[in-house]
Amino acid sequence: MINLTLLAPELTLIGTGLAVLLIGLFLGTNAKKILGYLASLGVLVSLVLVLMSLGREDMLFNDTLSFDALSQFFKLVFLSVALLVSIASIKYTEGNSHTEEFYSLMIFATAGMMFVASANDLIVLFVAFELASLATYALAGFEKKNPISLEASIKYFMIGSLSAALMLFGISFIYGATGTTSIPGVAENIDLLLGSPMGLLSAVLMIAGLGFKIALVPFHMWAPDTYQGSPSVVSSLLAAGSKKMGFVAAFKVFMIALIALQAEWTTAFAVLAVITMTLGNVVALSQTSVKRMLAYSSVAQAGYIAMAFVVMSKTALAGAILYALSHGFMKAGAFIATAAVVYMVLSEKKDSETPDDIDNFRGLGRRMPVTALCMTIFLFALAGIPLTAGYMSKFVLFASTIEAGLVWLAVIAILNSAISLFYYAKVVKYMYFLPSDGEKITEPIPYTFAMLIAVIFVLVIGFWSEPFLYWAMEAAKVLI
Amino acid sequence: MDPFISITLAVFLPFLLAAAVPAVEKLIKHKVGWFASFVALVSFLLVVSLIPLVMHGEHFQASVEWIPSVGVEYSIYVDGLSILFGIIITGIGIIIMSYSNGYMGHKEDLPRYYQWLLLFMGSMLGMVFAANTIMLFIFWELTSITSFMLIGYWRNRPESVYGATKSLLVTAAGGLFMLAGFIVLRSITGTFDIPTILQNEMLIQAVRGHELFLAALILIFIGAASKSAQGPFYIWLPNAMEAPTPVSAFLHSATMVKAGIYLVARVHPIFSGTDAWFILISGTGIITMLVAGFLAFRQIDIKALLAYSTVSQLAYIMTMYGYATYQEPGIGVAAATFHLLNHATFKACLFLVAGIVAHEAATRDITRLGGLRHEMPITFIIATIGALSMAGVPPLNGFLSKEMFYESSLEMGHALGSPFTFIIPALAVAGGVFTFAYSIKFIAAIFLGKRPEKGLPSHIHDPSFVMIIPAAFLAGLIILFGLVPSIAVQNLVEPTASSIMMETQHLHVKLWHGLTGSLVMTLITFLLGIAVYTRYDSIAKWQNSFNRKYPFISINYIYDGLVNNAKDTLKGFSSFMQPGPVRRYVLALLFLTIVLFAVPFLKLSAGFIPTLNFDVAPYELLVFFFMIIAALGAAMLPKYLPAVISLSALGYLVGLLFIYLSAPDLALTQVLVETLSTIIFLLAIVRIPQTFKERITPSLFMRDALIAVSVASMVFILLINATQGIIPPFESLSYYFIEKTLPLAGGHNIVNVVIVDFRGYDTLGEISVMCLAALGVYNLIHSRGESE
Repeated sequence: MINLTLLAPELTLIGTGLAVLLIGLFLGTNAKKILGYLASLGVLVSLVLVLMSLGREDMLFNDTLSFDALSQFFKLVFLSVALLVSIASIKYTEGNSHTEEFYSLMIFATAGMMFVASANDLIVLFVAFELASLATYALAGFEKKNPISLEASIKYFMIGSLSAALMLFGISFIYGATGTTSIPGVAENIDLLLGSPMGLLSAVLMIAGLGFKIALVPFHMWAPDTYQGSPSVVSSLLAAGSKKMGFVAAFKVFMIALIALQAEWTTAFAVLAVITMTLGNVVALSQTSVKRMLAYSSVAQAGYIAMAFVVMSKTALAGAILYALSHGFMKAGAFIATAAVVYMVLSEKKDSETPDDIDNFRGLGRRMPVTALCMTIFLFALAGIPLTAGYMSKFVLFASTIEAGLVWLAVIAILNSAISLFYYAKVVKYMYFLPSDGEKITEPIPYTFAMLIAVIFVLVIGFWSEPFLYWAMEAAKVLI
Repeated sequence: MDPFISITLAVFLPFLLAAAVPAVEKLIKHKVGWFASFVALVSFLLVVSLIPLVMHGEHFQASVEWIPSVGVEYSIYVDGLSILFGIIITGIGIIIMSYSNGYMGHKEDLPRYYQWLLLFMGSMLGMVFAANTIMLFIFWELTSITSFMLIGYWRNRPESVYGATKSLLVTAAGGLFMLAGFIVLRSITGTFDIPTILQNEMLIQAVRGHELFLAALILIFIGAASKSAQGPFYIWLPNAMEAPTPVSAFLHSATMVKAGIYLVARVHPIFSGTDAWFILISGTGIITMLVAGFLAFRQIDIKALLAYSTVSQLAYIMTMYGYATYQEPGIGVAAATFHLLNHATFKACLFLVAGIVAHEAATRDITRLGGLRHEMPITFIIATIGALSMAGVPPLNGFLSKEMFYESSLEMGHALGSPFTFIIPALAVAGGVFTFAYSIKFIAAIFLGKRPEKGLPSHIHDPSFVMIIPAAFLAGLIILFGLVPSIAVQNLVEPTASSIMMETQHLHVKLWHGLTGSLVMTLITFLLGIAVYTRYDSIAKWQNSFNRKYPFISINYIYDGLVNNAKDTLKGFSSFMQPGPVRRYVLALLFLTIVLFAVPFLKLSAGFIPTLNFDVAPYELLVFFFMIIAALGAAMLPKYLPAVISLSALGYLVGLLFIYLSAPDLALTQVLVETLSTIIFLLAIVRIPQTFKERITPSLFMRDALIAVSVASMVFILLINATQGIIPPFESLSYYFIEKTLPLAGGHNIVNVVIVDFRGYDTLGEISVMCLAALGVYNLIHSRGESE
């Protein structure tokens, strides 16, 4: 008998998505606000269900879905981000007649991410991956009348389809050589890949395909355009959630299925990690759009996380996994804070083309004190300032790198952190030190509420990281 | 009280009460400064109560679990060194916060000011009592942040913001290197706990013998040097003078800048006694001492002069901690520790005087000041005491520790042998000469000479008691420590030196101890100092003209180039990296895939292209030929409509091919999909311009063609490989269906059985997809009608 209780979070989520979609049909535009609450509730219930399932281990559907510490940890990441996004979106979708589409797409994307986290079979992984991707393509272009949003969506879609093709190609080679699509099965039959050039080739194709979602340089080019052009709440889902899906998929594909090819892909990841963090940070320095700056910062952060593929120790993986969680809160929070600023700018000047320009952050400390304080905490956390989640995860990750004897890699990463401090501090400087003659305004409650949740977690992980680190370690044990 | 609780309270009370400051300000208005001073006093008493505990070189240690997974604990370590720092931090803290009551105007944002001061004090205390390198790092970075907020206190001044940013960048980045050094240290010793390493001789030897010894030392020293403004990292300190003067006195002369010194002293037992230690610490120290002392000459802002002097004085202390040989790892420890204490007293005193002068005379420019001795007699006396102590004049405390500096320099020179026997004491004297000259200048430029006729307020007088008493108190300490050094030495310096040296130390510090070598050096310093002072202005003038001629010989020049012009420098690079058109992105992605593909391909090309079997029927060749033409047409036709038609022709030809290959179901699907997509295409293109607007140049065409051909050949090779059939241990899926069709589904037509039985759900899915697509088409047609 299949034990469906483990699948309860996913089922709840999908049920919520369908319910939102159907109920929306019968509601007038003004009444659609309730959908946001409904969606948030569904996500919250799903989150609680995942929390309750922590520590259980099982397989479902002929071993194509696995439930273990790794999958449940990442589901928590996705659901936390989804919760923040859906709360914040209550404000964003206010008065929009397409609210039900927004929420159902967001929920289906999250469900896709959750299935990726549980996937134990390359085909399931691919399908779940595409479920999440297709939903986010549409979300990126949610503002149908806004050419920038459309451009963002089209770019994302085109590059996304191309890399999906590459990934599928890679999977087909793995299948052709090993005769199975099961992830542990591939690892068992890996001898067949080792001897043939197909092994290398499939690793290359998988890196290209997954590198896109993770936004590793040089597969990152869509990311800044898309994050900048999409609605901020969607950017936060993309940067904080969807990117982590790429990581969990990459963990499964490389560290379980293709572990025997480690010698081949470690070098590739070392090069990519270094290029990614350096380019991300350097290009972020000269951005004037805050969303674009955050996008490049995400690129750089992906570079840090990718270090785990080079170090390959349990602590490093735990660091990377903890980083995924922390980054989820920090980045989602930062994008939501930006969304609040965009909202403020647009409510004053309707046709502003660059509402997220750094100039609009002038004097924010006075104009929107809560938003500015939260943003400061997120930015400092992203920079890795102590007693925040960003510091703890960076610390674990960098420390494990040094302990593995890769001092050069750690030094590059630390130099990069130092560079990043500059552009994060710049935003803080604009918010607190530069004057603005704008009025003080009331901060929209949904945005503020979402930000405060994120701030609490950023600080709790920073102060009291033990339980989070414990589960990250458990998750890492699944991989190594 | 339990020492653990005392220290925890001393550290965290300022944090907690900082949160209460705004509420207190509502109650007692501008008197909130006294509340802050009171908090500092409580912390001070808590720290002082622990002096007996460490009086004879003992130490105390306690910890509670924090993040056991990575071996990080909340743990404190109390020894002479941390007590000395604790007393300086809280003691100067009381003085500064009381003084601020007079200095800060009542209209300033006082809660913010005192809040950050208290947070700073708590962080600083946390840092010196941390037993754990990670805790140390955390508090270390907190002091950087609080310093950032305090330097930038006057937000509307661009210079404040520049100075704040610069200090944060330099010190926080330096802190990261220090963290890396700590982690290297942990990878050698297996612990983040400092006392564990200090108390285990085996571990210390392991560190020294390890190949990463130098890496750890250099990384940690970068942290120390950036915080204590040593070597090239000094640049942030002069700009940090944009902070309110009490802040400069507190953070940037007495406490925060000494964090680097603290760190050096803390790791002294681990690293000292090696050549690398001496070269790195003393080398950097001596160079910084001379350069900063020399550069002080051209400063015309009192606080800038004091800033350079601080850099130079910190370098003294650094140098002394660096004095070490293998036999005697602590030649300068006692002298350094004593000077550390003395510097905190006289420099804080001088900063307070600078604050008083700026407060009363409304300027800090020494070219506009002068002759104030009549109007501010008390201030004049205090300033003279402070400056003479800095110059090393007896019987003040600066004289004593400078004597000890000379003595240890002689000893170090002697230990190294010729030619250092002469060079090191000579360099020390040179540093002393510069110090002497600018100390005299400080007094002369403000108080002596003639009062300038223009530019100064007509009535200048000594300030209120609120400001004068803290400064006078420090001046009193300067004299007290000079006349009766044993008070400071026995209670503070000896325990500190003992804890650094890990064995009990006894010092004999007296004003007069005979005509020793160091006394001769002091006399030489005075003589040369007076000589240099007479040439003071011409030296400053020469420095200015040198700076005008060669602006690029300056670390600030490099910093500004790196940081402030980074935007321009990087703009070109950034715009190259983010081109925009999606075609470029696809191009980059494809190009990279080809390159990645080429690597394994070239490496293993031998087995990659299997032998081909060209057994194709002529009519198939004909279909292929038409397909190629259709594909070329789709790619090259200049208008959308013919291009789309060409593309669908290609699709139908593929369908035809499926029929030849006896796969009617596939052919049917293909034809359906093709029809559908053609309809959607046609509906979409009527809404857009019919021709490509973009002109395609031959070179662009060639490039695209090249990419297309490369990708196509890549796919070709992959397909050829894929069609090689199933690799031996596996068998084709078709065997499964041939075997199971009849027994499991009872059908004879395998294709039918697969479609309706084995893959029944897939078929259902396909049907729903077709329905959805048809709905989509219907909608498209419908919406077209609407818009017209």
